[in-house]
Amino acid sequence: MKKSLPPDHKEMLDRIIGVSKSSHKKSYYPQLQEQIAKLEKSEQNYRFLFENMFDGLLVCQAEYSNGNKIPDLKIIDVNSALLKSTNWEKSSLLNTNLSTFFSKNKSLYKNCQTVFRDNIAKNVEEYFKDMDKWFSINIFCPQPDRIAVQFHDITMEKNAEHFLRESLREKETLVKEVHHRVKNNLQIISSLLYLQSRGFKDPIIVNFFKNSQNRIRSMALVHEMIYKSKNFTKINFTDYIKELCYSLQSDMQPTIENLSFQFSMDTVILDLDQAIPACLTLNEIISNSLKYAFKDATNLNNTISLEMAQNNNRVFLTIKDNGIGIDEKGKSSKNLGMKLINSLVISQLDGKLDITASDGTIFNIEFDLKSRSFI
Amino acid sequence: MTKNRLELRKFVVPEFIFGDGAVDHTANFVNNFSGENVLLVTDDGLINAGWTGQVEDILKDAGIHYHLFKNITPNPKDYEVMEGAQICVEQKCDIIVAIGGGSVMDCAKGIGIASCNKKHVLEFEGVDEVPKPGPPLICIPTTAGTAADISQFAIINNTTENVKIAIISKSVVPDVALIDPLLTSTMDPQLTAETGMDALVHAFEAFVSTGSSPITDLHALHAIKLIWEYLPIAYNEPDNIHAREMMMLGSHYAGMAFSNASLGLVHSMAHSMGGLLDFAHGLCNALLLEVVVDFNYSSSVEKYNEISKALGLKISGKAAEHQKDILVKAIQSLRHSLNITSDKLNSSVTPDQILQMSKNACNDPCSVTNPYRPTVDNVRSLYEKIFAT
Repeated sequence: MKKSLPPDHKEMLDRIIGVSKSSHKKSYYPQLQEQIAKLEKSEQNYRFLFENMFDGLLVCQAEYSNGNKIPDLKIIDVNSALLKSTNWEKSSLLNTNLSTFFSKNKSLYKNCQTVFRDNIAKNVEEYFKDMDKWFSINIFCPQPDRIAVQFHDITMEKNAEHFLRESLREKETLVKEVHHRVKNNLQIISSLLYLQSRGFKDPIIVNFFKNSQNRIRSMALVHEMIYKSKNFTKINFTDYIKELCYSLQSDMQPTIENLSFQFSMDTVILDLDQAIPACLTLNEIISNSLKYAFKDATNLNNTISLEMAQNNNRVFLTIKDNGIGIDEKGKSSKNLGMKLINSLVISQLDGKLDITASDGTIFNIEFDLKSRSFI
Repeated sequence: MTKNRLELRKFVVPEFIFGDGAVDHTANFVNNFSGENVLLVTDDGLINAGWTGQVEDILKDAGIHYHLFKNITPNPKDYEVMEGAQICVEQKCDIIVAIGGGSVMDCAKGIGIASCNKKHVLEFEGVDEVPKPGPPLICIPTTAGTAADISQFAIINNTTENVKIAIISKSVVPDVALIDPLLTSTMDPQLTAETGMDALVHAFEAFVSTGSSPITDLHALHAIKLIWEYLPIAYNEPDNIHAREMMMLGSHYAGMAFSNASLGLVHSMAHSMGGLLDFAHGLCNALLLEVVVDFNYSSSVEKYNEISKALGLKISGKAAEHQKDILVKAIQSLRHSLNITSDKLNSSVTPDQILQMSKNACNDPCSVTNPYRPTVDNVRSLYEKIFAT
């Protein structure tokens, strides 16, 4: 007969033979339920985000068929936002190979394959002709065997950008046209002055006309350079100087024998506000040299040298000829040319002017570059 | 005459495949459990015998990735379990396949629950102390004795206190046992004898256990008959496949019995000896069985006599004391025929160690179901018998 067991011993026996309250058959069910609940919650959260996000999203699964190294990317999920923005049918998308679906956007499909291969996310902009829409598309790999394609509709932005580009192009054309017409009108004025000058024989009067013609032409040259360039608010002052020198030289009557220009200039870009006074100043100085410096016909080495440097924002310009040299009277001359030079450099360019006569005439001009703010 | 009502009992065995080629189903079961990354637990002996390689080939052919863990010694140590658990976590293994004897399978059980519960294996000591089951566990036994492939037991050596702890839980019952008798054919005679005696002790102890039931008795008694008949044959004729099959079947029956009815004092004492002195489990069992039968006999006369009858021992009409002697002598004679003697305990034992082992044995959960609850003094005198002979 069995002895009666103490309670702890009885409980121990029950446990060993597996009939106590804490004895269970080995079962994963509670853990399984717990994990299923967690997964369901996680799936719900994912679905909530997936279905409520503003952008369209398409998820593909990579499948390798017939030993191919390049997988088929099969569409396994799409969200409502994608269907809404594209009017695509869910049934025609699901289980379709991405290559079939993007058959008209081959580069996009290629990008998807590249992202899958390299696992490096990519952003592209793509136009879908069928629906006449632009999308900014993010392609990324959320899992090693999947890619996700996120569609953000940018049709409005693209249309606005197109409108702005068109509008800008129109305005550019208009600005070019205006500069062209200003230049033409200035040329007409110059021509009118020339025609009128032919009615005078007095060389002093003819010279007045000629001076005015040159001044007008130097301004016309600014407008010509502007409409021929890509930038309508600035001109290349260095190029302008060369152009002006050769133009004035070719126009000179009688021609100065053995004249050469020597240029040593940094590239300086001038704002339109400074371009006209600077160019007029140059016109006066070069014209003066050409007219007065080289009276000695026996000189075989007539030179006008132009040096220009830019240090930070300051421009240093030196115009030097090896002519007869300016006298004190010439420096303080009350003629229009010198008045203009003074007035243009000091008042309009806010610069400094220094004139010296030493083996010819030297004009030293300094001024700060200014740029106009368009904001 | 009123008959005693049957007591409430439960019977748990895992799914198992028994027979030639069972091991070939390893990959199928890994796939059934959706396992993708196997922790293959084994030891050097099995690798050298070629059985581990066979399982590796099966996994490779099925394209299943696996990670090998083989740092296991007999009487598996707590730190070996924890090393395996760490590898299991690091390698993100989602299923365990154990191929080996009791040490390998017990270690695999420990690895599973320690890695899943993120606890030290010694924290699961006792009965029903495992909160969560481990990952799926497929066991492929290579000895006919342990039956760890179907049992709810895992015995681990606490190396700090030199004591074996028992983890008893339905959570460590493997999910599948693939029992292929051919795998036992590479055991040498000594291992055959010791593991076979272990199986016999399982059956004896389950049969007389206070947790036994008609269902476990059926298996236990049949196991005793099979092992009694075929163990000497398997020992003497290692290549006798039929004997190997019958031994495996006997071990399996014994396993089904003891996993549900639990064990007794032989195992309590063997666990203490293995824990403190690292003696082979089967050897301890073999030496202790006759001593414990002698001690227990009077507490379960009917059951022991039933065993004697099943073994064809002539006990009818004899006095109880004589009946006991007949059974004890028969066991002794079987042991001698297997050349298992106490001089194999090649280590001297001090009285202090015997006392310590006796205390540990009394605290072992296997003592709970022994037909008679022993005192420390009882156990000490039993130990003295085997160390004196």
